[in-house]
Amino acid sequence: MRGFLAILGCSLTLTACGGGETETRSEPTGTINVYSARHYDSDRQMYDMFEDETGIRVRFREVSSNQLFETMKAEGDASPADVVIAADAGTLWKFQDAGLLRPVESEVLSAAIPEKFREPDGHWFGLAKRARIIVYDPERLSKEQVGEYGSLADGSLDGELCMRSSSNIYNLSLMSELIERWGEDEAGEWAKNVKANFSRDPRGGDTTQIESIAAGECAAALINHYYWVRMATSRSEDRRALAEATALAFPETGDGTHVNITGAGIAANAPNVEAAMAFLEFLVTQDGQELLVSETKEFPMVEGVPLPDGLDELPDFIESAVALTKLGENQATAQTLYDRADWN
Amino acid sequence: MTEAIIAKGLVRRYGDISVVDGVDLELEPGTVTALLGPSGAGKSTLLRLIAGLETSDAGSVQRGDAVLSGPGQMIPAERRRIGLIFQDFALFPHLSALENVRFGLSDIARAEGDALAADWLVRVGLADRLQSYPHQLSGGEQQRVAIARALAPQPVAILMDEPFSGLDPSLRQDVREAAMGAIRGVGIPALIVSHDAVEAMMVADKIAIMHNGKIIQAGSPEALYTAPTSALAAAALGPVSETHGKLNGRGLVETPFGALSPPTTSSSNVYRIIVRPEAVEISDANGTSATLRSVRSLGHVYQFVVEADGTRITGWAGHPVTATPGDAVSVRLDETGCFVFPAE
Amino acid sequence: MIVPTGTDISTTNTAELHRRRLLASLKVGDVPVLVATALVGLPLITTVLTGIFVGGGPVWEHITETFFWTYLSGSLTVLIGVAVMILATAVPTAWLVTVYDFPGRAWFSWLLILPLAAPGYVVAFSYADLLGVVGPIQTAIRDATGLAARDYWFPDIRSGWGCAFVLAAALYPYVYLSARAAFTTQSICTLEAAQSLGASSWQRFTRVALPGARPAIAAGLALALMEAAADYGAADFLGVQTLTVGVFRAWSSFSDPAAGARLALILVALALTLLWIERTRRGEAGYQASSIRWRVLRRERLTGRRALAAAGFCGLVFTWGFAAPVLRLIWLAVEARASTPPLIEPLVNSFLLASLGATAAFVTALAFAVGAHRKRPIATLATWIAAGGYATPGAVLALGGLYALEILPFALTGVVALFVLVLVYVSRFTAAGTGPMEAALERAPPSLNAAARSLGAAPMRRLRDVDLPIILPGAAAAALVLFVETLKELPATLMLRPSNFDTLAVRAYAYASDERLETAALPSLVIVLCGLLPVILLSWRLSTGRVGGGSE
Repeated sequence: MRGFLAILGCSLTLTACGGGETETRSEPTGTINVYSARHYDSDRQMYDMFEDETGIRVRFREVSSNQLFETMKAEGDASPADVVIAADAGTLWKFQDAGLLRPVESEVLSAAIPEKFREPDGHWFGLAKRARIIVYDPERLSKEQVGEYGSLADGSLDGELCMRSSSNIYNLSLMSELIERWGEDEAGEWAKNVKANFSRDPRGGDTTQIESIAAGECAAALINHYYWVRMATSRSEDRRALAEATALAFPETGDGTHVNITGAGIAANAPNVEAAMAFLEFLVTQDGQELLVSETKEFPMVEGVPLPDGLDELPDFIESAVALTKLGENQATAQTLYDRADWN
Repeated sequence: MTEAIIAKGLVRRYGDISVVDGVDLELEPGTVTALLGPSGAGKSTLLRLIAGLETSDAGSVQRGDAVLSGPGQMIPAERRRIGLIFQDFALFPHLSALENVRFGLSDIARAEGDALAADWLVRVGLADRLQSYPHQLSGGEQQRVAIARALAPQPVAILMDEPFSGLDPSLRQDVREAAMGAIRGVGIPALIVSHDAVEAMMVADKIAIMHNGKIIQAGSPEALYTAPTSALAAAALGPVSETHGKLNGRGLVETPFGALSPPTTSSSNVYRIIVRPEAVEISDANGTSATLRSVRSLGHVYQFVVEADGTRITGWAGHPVTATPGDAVSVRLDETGCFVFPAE
Repeated sequence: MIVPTGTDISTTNTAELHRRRLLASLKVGDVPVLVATALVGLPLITTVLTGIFVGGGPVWEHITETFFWTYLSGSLTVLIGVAVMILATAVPTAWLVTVYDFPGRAWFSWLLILPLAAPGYVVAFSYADLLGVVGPIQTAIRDATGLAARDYWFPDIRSGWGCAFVLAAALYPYVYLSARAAFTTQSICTLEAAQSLGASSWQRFTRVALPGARPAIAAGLALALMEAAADYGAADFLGVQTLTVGVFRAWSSFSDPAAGARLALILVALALTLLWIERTRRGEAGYQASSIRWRVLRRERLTGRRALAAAGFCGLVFTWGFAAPVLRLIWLAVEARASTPPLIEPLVNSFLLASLGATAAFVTALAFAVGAHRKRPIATLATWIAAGGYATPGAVLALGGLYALEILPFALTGVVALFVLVLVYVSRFTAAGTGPMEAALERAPPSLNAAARSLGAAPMRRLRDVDLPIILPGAAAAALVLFVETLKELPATLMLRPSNFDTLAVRAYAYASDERLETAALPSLVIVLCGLLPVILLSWRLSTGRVGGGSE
């Protein structure tokens, strides 16, 4: 029985049985295992294109980042993972902190990616950008009322805010940045005041918040820009109408808009480091970048790459200068501040 | 060609309880032997040992001179050619009546086997039910199929475990006659396990009474009925009452209902007396005085209870009892229906 | 649909003799059953031992300080809500279709079973959209009244009660089926007696039928609550913090499976309690049903407003459990037609994994069922262990598997992961397979084998010509049930599946938690479609009435 399972197991997951044999050569070949926290069909096209161009086979595993993290830890030294792709610098920091990523150097990556969007030692690299912005009901609120993160704490918005859970990594990373900007005390005060303005308990995801505003349940919320863009470019007329009933505000003062990343790093125990490097470098080519953001509606990382549909209508905005490495470091404090504010 | 089946000193233990405890039994060709006893006496286990469905812990089973099972020897059930008939009929539910009978004829050519099977079904009166499935047959019909199935392969003996007790009383008589007729017709040794004394006496040439794993008496029905060697054996063959007595000066056993002769071999002073109901007579005179307690018609006889000296016994009368309960009557015991055993 | 049936092996008159007979009968042939029993019990036993002896680290302290009461109250809200909603819908519908005749009755009688095909998380996806703030219902309310969402109150689907609403919709058929069987088989004569004594139809329901059917209803409810407690997908998707979600998070967010195992102890205790209730009540129900002669029921014909009310109520329950969520998914899938997700690969993966899991569980179930039928003492233990695994949430069993790997020198990669996952499937679903097989074998008394032997049939021929043909219909049903259960399984598959190996359930769940419901719709529908197969088979077998349990 066990033998039968093993044979079947190999045929199902070639990686597990055959992928371990690595040969070091100057020209990378063979197979890489990509562990990705994304679930986009355009990613498959991306993998296919990379296979066509390099002859390196891509095997991928797509799960939530938490599970990716647990899986890699459980697999330990035997992990077949070469590349880890995950959204949010806070998440990538968690992988780095657990020793699951290895530092690498690449001139191609250094040239293509601005310094603030990569980890200084090369543990991970930002590949696409997402802005955490304010969505609001233009019929009820003016842009001035919700123009900044700080505005959300204003007493005039009492009963106007919808938020998702504070344990969500997007909210944690934003708070980590606000701690960096304002200091712990002020950031904590902000969380308390924002919580006081809630129209209902935290619920759902970013999309839920947009829907709540469109339906008139509340008038402002924090979201990642692409959730709104996806809605605005949906094939469903109803969905488009929802987006059109709302407006976006990109914070401009202070450090501007909180920008996070989808990023990737190379696994500490990567069996095929060369091929993994080749893959990361492919992701900053124009083709790689376009496929990476075509469905997600994130901003491409590399200058000059055309924007996917729907993004060109967004205004230009000021990107925050806070180093992404801070997001991970402040994460525990951020959760504590939210907990103190009783923001679930 | 038919030979006797002989069990010698058979023992079967479960843990340290001997369910069958040193049984000797001979099943002679053309003879129907009934194994009679209460449930739990070990009857079914003894049948299973003879059939080869269980292995004995000691003793042997022989067919003529051939050993079927004995120390270090065990011919499995499927090679003994001993037919079995069960209380629950045990027909194969997925096979038709014909196919059920055909099951034991697998080494006969197909057409020939079918003809033989059909012939047997005709013999037990099921000519029109050849293609019926068990669930389409009545209980009586199912048991006829089971009988045909057991006899068709020309078994060397046939063993029946409570074969008629699953049937409606109104059917039992017919099926029993058909079955016993067919079995006697082939002249092989037959064993029928039963807890019904009337049935045993009706069908058997020889009865073996089993109690607590042992055969306490065996013989012709008449011999057992008229000369039981123990109180248990006496009670096994029909309804009895019990009274007691003491040796008097005249060498007779004095009971509350009159004096009886003691057994010749005994030197005891105290006796227990087992009384069959037909041995109790209400006489006009010369009897012992007793009180009539109840009278009830059972249809073919009148059953009455009389009491003397605080002991009650039950009797049967062929004619109406004229006295009414509470009256003093004169009672006489017929010695042929009274069995005197020394009390311990 | 998966009703673990008890195995009563008492045959002899004295308990002592019985016990000795069992002891004396241990044989070499029991060894495979013994090994299978150990494997089936491994995940559950590992979890329990881990929870007791290892689980008390800092993460456990953190959980008790912060989330424990949230998890507990979340689970209790869901369980209480599910129980109330199921009793309020399943029992009356079962009563209506059993004793009354009204337009559509014959259809409703089997349509009402269909929700069994849809796993809880799929129903949750659909209702989150249907009842969400921009869903069709709330939109219609706003369009009709001109109000904004803040101006009126609407129940929140993303809450404990919302989750209960969803799970009750998916699980009420457990109670519907057992109540219907009880009403059909046990109370006809007593009902007619009550009628002759002048009881009104309401009194006949409350004072005669309901008390009589109570054990069966309790047994069905225990099964439904077992499933509700085991749910991970619906609760997590709706943001409800239940114990099962907590167990999953202890692993996925706190990296401490042992703390998760300690949290799981509560779930295991709950599951075993429910199992005990199910077993004992099922026994009572069976005893009552068999002690009363079965009679053909003459249904009372309803007319006019009463007929309309009966049909309307059944229609409402069916809409709630099946029509509304499934139609909404179809609508979502059609609307999202251009971004149809790639389905072939997860479909193939699902089928491969389900075949593997179902085959392993099938072989185990077959060994257990035949063992129980042959009255092997070990099979009784095996049946109980299997029932324990069936009652335990998949996430809990998966933790046991993970922890076993942590102790043993194995890493959770391809083959090992596959092996552990299949082991968890076997542990979780074997009991679902033994049910139909035992039902089939009940048709075959043990004397059949003795009869076959006396007719000269050697062991191979007995297997080929007697055992297999008899077990075949039950085995086919068992295989189908196991296949679909494995296909639908979510939490253990999420936790343990090998690299590069997404199933339909995993993918549907990933899309949905990615806030892309319309993309999740199609894989969800495929799961429902696969699930319909055994449900239709079940309702067909119930209506032709040749199944064990003798329901109708």
